[in-house]
Amino acid sequence: MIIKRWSEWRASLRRAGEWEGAPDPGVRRLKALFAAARTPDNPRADAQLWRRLRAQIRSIDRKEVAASLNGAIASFGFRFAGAAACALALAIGLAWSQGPLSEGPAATGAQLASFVEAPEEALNGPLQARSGDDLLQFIAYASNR
Amino acid sequence: MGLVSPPPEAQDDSAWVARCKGGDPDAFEPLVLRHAGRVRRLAWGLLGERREEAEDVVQEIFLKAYLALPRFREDARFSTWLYRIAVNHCRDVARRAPPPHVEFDEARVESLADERGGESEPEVPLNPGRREELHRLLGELSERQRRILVMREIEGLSYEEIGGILRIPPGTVRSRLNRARAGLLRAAGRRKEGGS
Repeated sequence: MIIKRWSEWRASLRRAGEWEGAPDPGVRRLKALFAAARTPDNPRADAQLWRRLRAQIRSIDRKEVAASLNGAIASFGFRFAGAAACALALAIGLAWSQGPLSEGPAATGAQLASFVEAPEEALNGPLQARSGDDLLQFIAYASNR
Repeated sequence: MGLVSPPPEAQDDSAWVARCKGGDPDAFEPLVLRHAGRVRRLAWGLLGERREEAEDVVQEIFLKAYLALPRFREDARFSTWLYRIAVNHCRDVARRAPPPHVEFDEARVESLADERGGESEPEVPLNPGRREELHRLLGELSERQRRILVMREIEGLSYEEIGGILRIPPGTVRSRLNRARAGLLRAAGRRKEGGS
């Protein structure tokens, strides 16, 4: 049995080796089967295939654009919003400090400081004053304390 | 062995490929029209039990190729790259579970035809009996043998082209092809003995 199988295998290899040359009837029959499977091109079927494919590609392209936008927003949205808020705050701060409004807060600060002036601080003014009347008033005040 | 269609011109392909990569999906049309016939025959030969699905599989192959096109480095010809996708995809499809048996429903078929806008299926291939016989014989071979026989005997690809698709040297293509032919001869002999 094994010897028979072996000899069949050897014979089939030998016949296969002669496939391209002068094949025996068995090989010719197989070649005819392959030739029957070699159908000609079918332009109509190809055109139909392209139409279906084109529609599919269009829908995929649209989905891809939408998906890429969604993805960008999803992945960078929070970071982008944070960065935008920081940039906005910075821009407002710059405008506030360098723009025409910049003197407003400084003046208000000076006024506030004068309202809450402590008594000791009030005494410093006459000492630094250039006017002699102020200084005399201060001396009188200090000697009365 | 003569080819069914003239060999595609690689230079033309690369020009269309470049346009596709540049974002012009319509440039894919000439590539589809040029290679669909070969891919269809390849799919038919490789799908085995699932060959009825060949037309859908061909569409999937081209879609896969279109989506993978930006990654195509053009170190091989477009046709070689496309057939490699086709061979791999057909292998995956053929390994799926066999399709469930569906009762013939004439009304359903008509409604499907309407959905497809009255398109008819591709023409019925010539000599269906002989093609079925060939399928039965190919079914007795291993997947690897079937693949190489289909590429050579049905598609008429050269050893170099087959080697490029399967990523093996032409000498290996030759030896594998010889073993596949021998296997086919043995299968035919067994059928003949069984039939007589």
